[in-house]
Amino acid sequence: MAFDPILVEVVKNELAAITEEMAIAVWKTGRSPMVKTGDFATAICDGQGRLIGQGYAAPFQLAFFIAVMPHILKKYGEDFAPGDVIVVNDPYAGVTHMPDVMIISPTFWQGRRVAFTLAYSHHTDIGGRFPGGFSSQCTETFEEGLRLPPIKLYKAGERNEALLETILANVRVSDEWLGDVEAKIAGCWRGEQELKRLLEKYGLDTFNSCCDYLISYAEKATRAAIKEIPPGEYVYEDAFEDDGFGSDGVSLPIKVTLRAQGETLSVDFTGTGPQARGAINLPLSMTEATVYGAVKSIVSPEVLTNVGFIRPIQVIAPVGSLVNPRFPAAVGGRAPLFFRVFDMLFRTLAQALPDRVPIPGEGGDVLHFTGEREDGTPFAVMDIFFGGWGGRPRKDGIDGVAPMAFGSYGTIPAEMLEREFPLVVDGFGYVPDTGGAGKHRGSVSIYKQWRFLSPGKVMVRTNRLIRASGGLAGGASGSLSKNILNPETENRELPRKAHMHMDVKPGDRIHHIVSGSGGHGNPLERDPAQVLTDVQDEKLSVTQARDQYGVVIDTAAAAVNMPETEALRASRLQPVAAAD
Amino acid sequence: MRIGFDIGGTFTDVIVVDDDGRLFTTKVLSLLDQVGEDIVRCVHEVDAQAQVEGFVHGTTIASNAVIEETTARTGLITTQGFRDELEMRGQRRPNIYDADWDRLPPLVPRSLRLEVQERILGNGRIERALNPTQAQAVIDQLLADGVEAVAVCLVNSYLNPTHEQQLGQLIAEVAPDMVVCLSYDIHPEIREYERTSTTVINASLIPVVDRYLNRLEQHLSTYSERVLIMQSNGGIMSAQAARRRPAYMIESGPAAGVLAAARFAQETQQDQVLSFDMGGTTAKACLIENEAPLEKPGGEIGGGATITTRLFGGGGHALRVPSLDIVEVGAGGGSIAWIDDGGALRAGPQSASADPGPACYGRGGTEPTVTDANVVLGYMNPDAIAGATLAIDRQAAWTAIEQKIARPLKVEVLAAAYGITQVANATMMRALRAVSTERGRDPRDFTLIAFGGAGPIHAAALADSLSMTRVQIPLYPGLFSALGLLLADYRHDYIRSVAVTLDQLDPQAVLCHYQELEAQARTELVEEGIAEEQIRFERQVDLKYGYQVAELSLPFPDVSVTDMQDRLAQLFTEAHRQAFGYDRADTIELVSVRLQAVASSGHLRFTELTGAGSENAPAPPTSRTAYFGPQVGECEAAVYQRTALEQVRSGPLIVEEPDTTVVVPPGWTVQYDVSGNLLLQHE
Repeated sequence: MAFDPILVEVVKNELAAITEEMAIAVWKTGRSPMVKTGDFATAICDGQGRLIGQGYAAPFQLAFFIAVMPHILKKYGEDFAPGDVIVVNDPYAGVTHMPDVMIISPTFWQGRRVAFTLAYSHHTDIGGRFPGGFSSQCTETFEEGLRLPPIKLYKAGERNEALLETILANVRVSDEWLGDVEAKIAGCWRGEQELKRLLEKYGLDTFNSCCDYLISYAEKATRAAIKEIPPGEYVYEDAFEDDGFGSDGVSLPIKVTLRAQGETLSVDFTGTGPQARGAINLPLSMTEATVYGAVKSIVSPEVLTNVGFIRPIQVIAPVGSLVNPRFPAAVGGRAPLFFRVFDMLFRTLAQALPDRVPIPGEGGDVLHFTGEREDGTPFAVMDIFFGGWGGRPRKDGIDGVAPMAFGSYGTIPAEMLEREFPLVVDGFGYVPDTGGAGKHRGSVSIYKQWRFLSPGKVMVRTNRLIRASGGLAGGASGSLSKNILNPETENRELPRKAHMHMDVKPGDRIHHIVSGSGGHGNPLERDPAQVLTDVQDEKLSVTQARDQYGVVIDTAAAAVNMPETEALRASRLQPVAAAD
Repeated sequence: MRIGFDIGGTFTDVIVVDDDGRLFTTKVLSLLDQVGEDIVRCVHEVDAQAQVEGFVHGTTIASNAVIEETTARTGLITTQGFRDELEMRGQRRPNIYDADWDRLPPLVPRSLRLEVQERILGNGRIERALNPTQAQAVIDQLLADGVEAVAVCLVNSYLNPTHEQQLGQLIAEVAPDMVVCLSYDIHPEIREYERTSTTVINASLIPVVDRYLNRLEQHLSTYSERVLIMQSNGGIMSAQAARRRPAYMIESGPAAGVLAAARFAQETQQDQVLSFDMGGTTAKACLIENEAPLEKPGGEIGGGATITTRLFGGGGHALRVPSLDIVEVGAGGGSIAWIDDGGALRAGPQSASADPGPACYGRGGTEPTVTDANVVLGYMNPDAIAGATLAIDRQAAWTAIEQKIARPLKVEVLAAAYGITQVANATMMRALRAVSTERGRDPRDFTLIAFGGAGPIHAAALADSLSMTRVQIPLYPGLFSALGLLLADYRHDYIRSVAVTLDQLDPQAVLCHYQELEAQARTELVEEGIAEEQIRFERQVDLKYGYQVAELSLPFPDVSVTDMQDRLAQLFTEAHRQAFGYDRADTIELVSVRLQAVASSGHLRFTELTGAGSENAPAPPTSRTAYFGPQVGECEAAVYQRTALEQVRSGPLIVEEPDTTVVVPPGWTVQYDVSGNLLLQHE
């Protein structure tokens, strides 16, 4: 095919529009709250199984489809037929934990396999020891739920009822489980229809050459972007404070070595500690997804999302470590470590590109609540929500928004939660005096308080209960997260465990606080006018304005007292850590 | 006689159609303080004794107020624990990888978002009654803070408006003239953030729109009391209705142009058309297929177009109001060219607007604009435009570009001017792509209908970049949107939340909802002067499976009470299968009933219009030097009047019209058709 820039552009955007159509179909027909907030993604692979387009909500979802396709092709070879629907959730076959159930369906056109349509979403349950399937308190993958290797749920359009019956007998909310699977099949079906329309219009040869072109274009663009990183070796070390059981005094080492070598990049986790006993480990597919997502966020945000993008990036993750555990290590509770590694990767990149890299921010905390309604029907609900962005080289973080690891995720409206589930949201908003101070401050903490109307089992996933989000370039840390039971009565702080389980009774309340995010730059250099705005917005107290920023606010005049501020700032040298 | 006027950021376009279908047009600078006087003057010039049937008005007053953050100082009263939801916007952001993103500030600052003690549960039951003492304190605080409007949105009020209504009464007792919007009245639909945001937009616009309309009506009443406003959905409503529901007129101006393009496509039997409307401040694009513009049930204002907007949004203020699906970007004739921190040339989104306007208007503007670039390049007349009513100072344009752009970038003035148009074109391409390729449409299958004061200057160059080969410039391109105003029907959209599963549905209650909404619509439309028998209703119903997040909107069937449940279930199941390939034996919920009330305004047809004075023989062609980029360089372009183009002619060529300029670049031809439209084709 002679290169036709307009045609390539059209096909590229048509593919993006198709994956978006698929995503809309999943979102519109999905049953569980996770689909409604954005914990799902859709994609198209070409006939060879190469990812060529993705409609999605978060950077970390980038590699999910890339990781799973080799397992599908390896198992089935050429054994695909129109109407096949494959289901898989095996963390050792490219999926990153078992609640994420992926659907893959081949598209045939004029008797030939021309593409695959794919969709995954996070289910609210997958059976196993703990409701939700993402507790860190499991030690083997066998405890975590029902593991599905790549297996045909539909063979040539015929549903495998025995398989389905078996699955549904093993999950807590079978109706919702099936509903979400049907939504994903609907998404894949939609993609198939649209792809056929595209092929009718352009033919297979043109379609394939466009795919080739788009993949090599993404690779070239990524190489060019990587070249902007000053060559060298950048090392960052941190530790993770939870072994999955919230044991005291845990400190699991994580080490990242980033090597920029002209047009290629390697991210090496050598030096990272051995796999943990609890289910906090990142399976290799998740480690890769984290690296690709973080690198793309900073280095090449504009580059197309296809398999070409990852080619210049090498991930080295020692077998048996926290970031590449051996089967059958449990991995269901991998999210908190994922957030930490994502944050570390940003801080590593900040050494190379100090003017470009922000603190990616905090949140992704979750309430998981299961039980029975008054009429005896089971329910399972996940409520995910966020802190906000950390300070940036040229501007403040943003309060109360999905952190950079999450992209376009949102929270589910209180009205939808309350309509469907026996709980009440008492409040959801900012907590003053919690943002990491800095010339450009980090997000304040976000609180969310639930009241339970039915008895049930609760798991709260909380990040940053022990190690705060640190500042960058002289900025201060954000405050820590915490959970409080019944703040208006017993007011008891709950154990600082990343995955905290408890039983609740009607009327119980949990008050959850997501940590503040670190600040960027010296707080004493912050524009006093911005400090005043924060005080007027009730995000910062007058006391903290003085203590953290050396800014004296004249409350009566609603203004900054400049002479006193200048004197105070001159007497200070170091920023102070945020109040906890 | 009917008069349409469309106030853009820079120009106000006035179009007068007399009872014989004769068209008179004029264009005046948008100086908001004197728009009313200007319109009256225009009418007076046409016919001092005119019997004016009514004015139809398209305006950006509402959207500009939101975008420029000049809405009224507004307070928000919400349920305890929910004051920050307006600012957090569901915690979403519009772009996955944009680490440089800035969130748009909320329309109500945190200090004016106050909470009341009350609680209604997810089943509509009152769990905690409104605390009147504390509520009074909240109201007093807002009044003391000097708010002009109050938005009230309580959690779960879409199921039970009791507390919102109580708050409305409490406010009325202490401040009877205060503007108050209850979310149940504005948009009774589940999702507290979207409902709050829509209510806040409406409340904060009422004082702005009211002041504006008062001033306007003062002048217009000389001729007629009847002032109609274009809505975002492409229908018109009375000024009285606009005062209550200004959120419905956010895309008033853009909608009129799209409606005109859709009617144009209909009359010229074109199935695939992209409308492109470039004014002084922004450019807008819309996809028109099978004679109908794409519509959307709601969206965002102020966020820009992004891939996630359709799914999740988060970039702008949520606005759940039906509207035409128009993509708008900040590039227009008045867009100011500047050099950013990185040394790159940029154009917009800042606009010189009408005052001071581009440097070449000689009204004191010193910033170089896209219009200045077009003058320097020779595309626009170097002496006067707008039918010789607006003098042009080419030297001032030249100086502005030389000083602000050419010298800092160390390039020639012509190259700088050309660069400005290229940068503006790249921005406008995004809008055209957003409505075509990004929706899976190949722009090469489409005809570009270009209008707006600046659209015909840029149209061919934009078409070139998208490999589109056909561009149409309709008659009166600079006044096309104003013309659209006179083509629109009356339309009101109503929604009522039902939230009941089909097995528990009371069919009689559903019919009651429709009847009540129809009665409301009838009252409003009759108030607007519509004869009752002219009103057409379209009933729609939103259905979904119990736990789904989004519903399907279907036409409500004409059924008996006994068959309603079965028929709705059957219709939904079929529609679901059609849309998503499957259905399931599951509980179906009736989410809302919707009603669309439409009444014809006795609209015109393009073919029936005759331009006043169009029978005059065209002036003989002249020529001037124009610059077409480094490859072509400067060349002599013939300058024609439209009516002199009965034969196909090749570019470079410029068509000068009273309301715009058409640029036919080298490689393009132009021809005038029987209806008076210009067709530009790529050779």
